[in-house]
Amino acid sequence: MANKKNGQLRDIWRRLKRNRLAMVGLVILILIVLVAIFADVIAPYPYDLQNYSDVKQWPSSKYIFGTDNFGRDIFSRVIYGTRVSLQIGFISLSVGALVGSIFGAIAGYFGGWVDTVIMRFTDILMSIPKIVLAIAIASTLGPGLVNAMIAVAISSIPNFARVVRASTLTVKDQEYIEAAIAIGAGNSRVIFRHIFPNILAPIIVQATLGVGVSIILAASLSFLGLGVEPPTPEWGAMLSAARTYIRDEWYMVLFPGLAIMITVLALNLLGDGLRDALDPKLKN
Amino acid sequence: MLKFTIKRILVAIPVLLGVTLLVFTMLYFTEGDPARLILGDTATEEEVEALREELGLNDSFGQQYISYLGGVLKGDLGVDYITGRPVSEEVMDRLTTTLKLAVASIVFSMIVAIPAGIISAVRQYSAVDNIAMVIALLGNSMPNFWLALMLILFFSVFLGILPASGLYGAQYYIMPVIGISAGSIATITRMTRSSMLEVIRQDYIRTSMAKGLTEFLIIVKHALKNALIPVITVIGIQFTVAVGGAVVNEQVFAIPGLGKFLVDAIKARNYQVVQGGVLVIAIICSIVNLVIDLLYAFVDPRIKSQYQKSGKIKRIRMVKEEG
Amino acid sequence: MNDKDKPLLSVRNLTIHYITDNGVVKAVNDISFDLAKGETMGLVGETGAGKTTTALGIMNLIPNPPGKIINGEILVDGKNILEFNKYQTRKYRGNVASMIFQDPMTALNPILTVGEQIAEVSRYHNKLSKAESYVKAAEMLELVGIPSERINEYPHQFSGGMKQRVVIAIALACNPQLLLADEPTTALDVTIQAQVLALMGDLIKKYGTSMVLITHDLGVVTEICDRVAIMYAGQIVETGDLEAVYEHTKHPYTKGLFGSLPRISDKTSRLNPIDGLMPDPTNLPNGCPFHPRCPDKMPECESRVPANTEIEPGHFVRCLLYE
Repeated sequence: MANKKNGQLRDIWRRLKRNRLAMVGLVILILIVLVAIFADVIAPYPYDLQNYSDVKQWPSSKYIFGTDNFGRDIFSRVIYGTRVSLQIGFISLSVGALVGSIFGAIAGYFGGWVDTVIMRFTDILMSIPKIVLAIAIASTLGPGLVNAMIAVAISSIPNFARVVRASTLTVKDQEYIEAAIAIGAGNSRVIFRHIFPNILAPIIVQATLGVGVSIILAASLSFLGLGVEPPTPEWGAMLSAARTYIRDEWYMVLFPGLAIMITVLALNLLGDGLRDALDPKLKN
Repeated sequence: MLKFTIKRILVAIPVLLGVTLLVFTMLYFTEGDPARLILGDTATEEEVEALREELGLNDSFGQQYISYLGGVLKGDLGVDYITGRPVSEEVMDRLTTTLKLAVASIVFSMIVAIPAGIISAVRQYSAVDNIAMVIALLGNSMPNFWLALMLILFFSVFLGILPASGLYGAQYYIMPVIGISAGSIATITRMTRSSMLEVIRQDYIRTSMAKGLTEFLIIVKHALKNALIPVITVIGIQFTVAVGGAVVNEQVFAIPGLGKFLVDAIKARNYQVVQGGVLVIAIICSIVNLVIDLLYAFVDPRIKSQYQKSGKIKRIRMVKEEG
Repeated sequence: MNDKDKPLLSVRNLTIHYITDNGVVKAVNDISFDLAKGETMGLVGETGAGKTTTALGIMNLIPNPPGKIINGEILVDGKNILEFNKYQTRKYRGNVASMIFQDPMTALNPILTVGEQIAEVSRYHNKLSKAESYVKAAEMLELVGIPSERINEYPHQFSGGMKQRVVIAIALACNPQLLLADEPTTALDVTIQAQVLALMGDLIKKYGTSMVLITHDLGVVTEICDRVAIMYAGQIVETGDLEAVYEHTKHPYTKGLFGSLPRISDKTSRLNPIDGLMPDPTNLPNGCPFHPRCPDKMPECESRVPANTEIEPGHFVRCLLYE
């Protein structure tokens, strides 16, 4: 059993390795994570150091991305912003994925009225645009890093619930699940020991792509002034502050956006590659 | 068909009720005392308490929800305590702007994405396919508000050919629509492409090739119709996404729509307005998705006939055929 | 040679490979056979022997990539169809040669009515008007035993056997000279199989159509075929008229096939299956591909590929025992 698992993992890795775009995504992602971890070492200035003699400086050898209206080094803020965005993306997504997956598995496994109630609840959440839902939640909880994460996490629940429910439904009728029930395994044991390992593939793919969505959502929230608040160096919040200067100091709106795009792009490349590697049949 | 329509509408009702409950609950648990907000810091504790009683804020959660729901059913979304106008009027004033943006964006994304997806699938791995896929990948990776900022930078700041704010004519729509629809274009292109690729591999496409039909006829008549069925369902979801995109992009382009109204209301702690705005957005998105679902059933004969005849008659027919 | 003796279909040294990530699948390796006008030939072999690939090759429908016709020619009425241009190929498919596919469940387009799917063939090839083509489609439906009032129904409203009748109607709509039937009854219930087979037998006799019937059922062959070709690992190992192959069986593989059939008249002896499995088509053994399983193996078999040997008029065997 253990050997077979390893064999499968090795197969997936082998297929993933052959996908050049996915490997590019993985390498970029690893670099971004390293940047987040070693932000203190990489950033030339503290993210909140206001240098009033160097306000709105265009990119130069001293400030490679320039400085903002407070004289803060944009490069350093983008570097530190990696930490904030990855933190929001991964934590809120993990919470959303966990909650959504549990609900989805319960809905798919038990069916009947439990399924109906859970699915109607996801319908409710999905009938509101993600950003509007996040805005509404943020307005209830108030702005701030943690509240933004909660808002983003809740917004990502319905997608997971649906994906996991659909996968559970296909797995549920397989004979090995019936066999597990036949030998007297309890419901929670069947769900966690037998169903979850077999539907991990779609969850992983959804999660990889979902981190990117969460990062964008959190950035949008901050851009609207309802998420992470200044002076925390969040990319969306930086863009929100910089947009006033788009006519003259447009470099300010360039770099934080590029940082978001590159991060999400890496996640999407990896996510697409993982999807193909986990389910070669789906590959087009 | 009527049966399907009724069934689908019956499913939509609890969802809409759920939306009202969700929106109400969020407002209920929002910090701050609406009565205090209305009266301001200068009012005495007694005055606030009297207003609380008057507004029914001392009632239980259930009582308050019932009276709120009663109001919603009559089209009463409460009163904007800053302007003193009914929230429903204020929302309706701005709704058309947001809807125009969302509809224009969804139409634009379909016009671009469906042909792009078809060409990519039919000419898989060609240069056109590769370029379309790269653009789609970027479109899915960019925050729409940043794309909007980049468009402003390029078309308004550098070239000076497009207006950067407001919504006073056709040219004002160009950048917001691109900004809102970029993500949808990416999603629909990829969806059309993969759906098309899957259909092209089906046995019935081989049958149509064995008939000696032209490639054009095979693609348009046999493949495309089948491939678009799953695409239609995504379009409903993409409408919801487009409304969300409009909410953010209104902020970028200073367009006085529902999104800007909502965000301003949150900042002013004008929660009655937030509640009304979110509710109206949710109802509209639900209705659009309902319509799309019905359209889906209309396009796919398998679903259509499922509800046209009762199952029993169908079964008897099947037995007869086999005998 | 007068016109009557000239074969309708003449396959010469046909070799078809699929180039995949896991190696080159040698699906069809140097096969040759002739089919006279009005003649029916059974093409028999295990799953993976290359029967379907041969049929798709004759339709020029090999999916490329990954498939590739490496060598050989396919002459229909003396013309090599592999050299046809796009237009000629379209005029050939469905008009001169038609194919009936294995799985009627997936061979029909789910969102077009069966009438349209039949009508479009004659509309396209015979330049009929829409109304004329529907009259023709109704005739075809009646011909295959389906009431013509079902012309506007969709495939999902038909049972498997009925769908296969529709597929037959499509294949015969333009009265083709050559019909390729790829296990037309495998996906059907046993009782329906006989009906469909009888129908096909009647129709090709009525119209003088030549047919290649692909099957793995030696019993079916005796019912409607004049000749039989036995395929193994992409080669035709034995071919001849029914009597020659069934009564004077020569190739050890053919003998093995007959040995693995139960015979009611001979209840005492046990079934005699062939040992081992078909070789992996990406990794065929040297020499005769059957040698690892052959009971009569000689040392030479491991190194030399046997040539096609005519051991009596019209009876060919590919085995070193008879060279």
